[in-house]
Amino acid sequence: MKDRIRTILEELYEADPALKDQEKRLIPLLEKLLKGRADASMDSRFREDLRRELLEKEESGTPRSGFRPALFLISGAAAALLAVALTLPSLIDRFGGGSEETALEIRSMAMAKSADASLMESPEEAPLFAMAMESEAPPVPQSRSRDRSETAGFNTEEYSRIYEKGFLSVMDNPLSTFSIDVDTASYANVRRFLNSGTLPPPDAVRIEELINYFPYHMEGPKDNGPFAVQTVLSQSPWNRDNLLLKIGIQGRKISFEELPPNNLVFLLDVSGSMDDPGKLPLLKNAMKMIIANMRREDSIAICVYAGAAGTVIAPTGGVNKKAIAEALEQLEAGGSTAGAEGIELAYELAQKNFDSRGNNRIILATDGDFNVGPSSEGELVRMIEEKRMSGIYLTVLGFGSGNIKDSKMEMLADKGKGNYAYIDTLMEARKVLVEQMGGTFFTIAEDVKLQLEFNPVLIDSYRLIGYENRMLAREDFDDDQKDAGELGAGHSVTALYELIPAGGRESGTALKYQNTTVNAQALGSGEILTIKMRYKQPGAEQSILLEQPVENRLMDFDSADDDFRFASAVAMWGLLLRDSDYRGGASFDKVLEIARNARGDDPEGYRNEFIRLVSLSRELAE
Amino acid sequence: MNDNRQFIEIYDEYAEPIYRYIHYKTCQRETAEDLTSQTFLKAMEKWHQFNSARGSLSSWLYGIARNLVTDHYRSRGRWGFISDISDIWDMPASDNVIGEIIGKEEKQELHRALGTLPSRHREIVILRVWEDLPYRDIAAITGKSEANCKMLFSRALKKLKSRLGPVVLCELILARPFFERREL
Repeated sequence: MKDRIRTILEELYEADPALKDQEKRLIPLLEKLLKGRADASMDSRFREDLRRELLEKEESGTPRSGFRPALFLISGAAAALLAVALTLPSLIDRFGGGSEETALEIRSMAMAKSADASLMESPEEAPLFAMAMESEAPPVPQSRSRDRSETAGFNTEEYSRIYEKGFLSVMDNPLSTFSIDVDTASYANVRRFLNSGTLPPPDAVRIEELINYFPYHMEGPKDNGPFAVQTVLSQSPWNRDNLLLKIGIQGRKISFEELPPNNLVFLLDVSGSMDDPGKLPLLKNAMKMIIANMRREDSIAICVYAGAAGTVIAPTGGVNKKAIAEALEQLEAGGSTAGAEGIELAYELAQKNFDSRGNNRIILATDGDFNVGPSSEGELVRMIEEKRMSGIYLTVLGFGSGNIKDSKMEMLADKGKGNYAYIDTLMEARKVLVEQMGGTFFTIAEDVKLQLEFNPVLIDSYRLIGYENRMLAREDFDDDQKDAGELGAGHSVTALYELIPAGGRESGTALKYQNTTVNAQALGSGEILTIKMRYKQPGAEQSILLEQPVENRLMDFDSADDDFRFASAVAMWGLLLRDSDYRGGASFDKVLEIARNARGDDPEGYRNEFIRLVSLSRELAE
Repeated sequence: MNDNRQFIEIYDEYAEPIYRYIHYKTCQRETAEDLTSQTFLKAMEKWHQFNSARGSLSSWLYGIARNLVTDHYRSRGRWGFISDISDIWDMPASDNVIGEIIGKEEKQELHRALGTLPSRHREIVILRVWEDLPYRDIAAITGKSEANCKMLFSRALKKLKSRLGPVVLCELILARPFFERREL
């Protein structure tokens, strides 16, 4: 039995490596499953009757339509009824007086149960029968499913574990502090999984990146600041007792012509693993788009790494696009990866052509395989941080499947104060590299942090959705040495909080040694919270503080704007894909319903594509 | 192209697993027997159409069974399903009822937890663990990719993990109209 359990587990780890952490609890569970096989053996008389019938039919060659086997009484079931009736009193005795430990578990189970309410309420067998029925015998397995499974060999991909944060009491934790995140890689990666016919592993789903993938129709700053902040408060669509607060940050939009000169060094991974239609050829096409959009004042250099690092073309200005395009054509994939050397070379090139007024940036395009070894990985990070201080940023573009080191790529971009985008299609390349060129390549505010202070009279507890790896300690907010996310020109960032209203009463834990009391301002105030923001002008050392109170103005969900409803649908989808404990009454159908009615103005078709992906994920999840 | 075996040999090999599969899905012996008959009658009728190049024999048979189960519930309407598996899946009869109680408790607890899974997730768990089918066959039967079957199994295990244990059983006893159902 041990071997079978091992096989079953190893197969599962291929799809969801994070499961390994729970192995100790999974082994007894699988033992239980193996031992607990229901006794559903065939009645021997029935078996013989049917056999005879089939034999007769086979010999005569004429089908008989009226065959119905004899029906037998369910003697086994009757015995089971008796067994359970006898068992019951002993069970009630056993669990009648619960220990403290049991009580705790019951509470946690009750929470898990309520979180899964949607599952229980729905006619759970119904989706099974949504499958198209044919009057003929079913087709033998379609080759489509084979193809999909073959393309989904993703067992070497790596994702950082996401530990979901629960609700925090406002009395005990009045401040919620986090760094902004403008990455969108997770959405494109999730899309790649779904299109290949499988649900993504939960750790590949970063909800804030799903939400931030979409352009929202927010107004930029009216003053000279780099961004404007807007808030909307309404009900949570997956739990109508709770509220949902949307905080939207819209960076100043700068037209392409007004952007300072770009000094871009592309560092391209041309190792053997990039030799795939979804990798190097896609990367080349994406690069062509950038070259086509170059201005005279911009310069581009290309260097590669694979086995050894080398310069393909030294920094070349926009007047000589042809030379850059020709150099690009020469690239071929092959050899193993030596990422660290490549990065050093790229920084050298960027430094040589450094423009103090411009945007100096390395753009690393890879499927994530750096052969740098554990000792040099720390050095690599230090170098990236150092270079960033001298004004050279790092943006990471992820390509291809099967080998994505998602966690490492996000970390590198984070250290390099750039963003991390995942390019799965040429459309995505266009979105990241052309449409959002300003946001992808030009930073308008650095180290952007948010700190929310909630009013305990109106809010009992809160939960920030996503941003798990962007949380900061409360004291980090005022510490200018602590890093946070960057905001690019025209970028928008959205954060959603699920709030449990307090109903105007004080709550929280009574403490023995200190008093936590609400002051008169909180009691008399109509504000549910105050948002504090800190950011630095690019290159500046000191941060600037902004403050904005949020009034207790609750909008009815159906009359909230399209952006709010759409973002809430995306968040709900993320909760479902993560199989979150906090998904409440979330369902794929609800996501679809809300998203369909909140498409609004969608010139690029991103929201329509979202709806298609939700339908696909519903099919895969049910 | 089918192989050269007589159809009755196919029946002898697959009658039990197909019957079990239908029984797990329908939770009723009568229905399972009826649908098993229909499955093999239909398979016999279509036997000349079976093409081993396009998929395995077992997934072809499971596919027929699966569609018949689907059809069965369609004809009964969406709400016609008995959702509590543990009440219906047979327990072997035995004279030594008291002696087997502990084992049965565990089994029933497990079956109840399985019963709370969405049916498609449950189907994958049963096919992989109880029927020992490879993912290739499970993918063919359920019409999903192998990777997705694994992902659904992984999700199902996490759910089972949180739903199994003495506390859950206690909860279930308190939460459900247990006595009434037994008296029926």
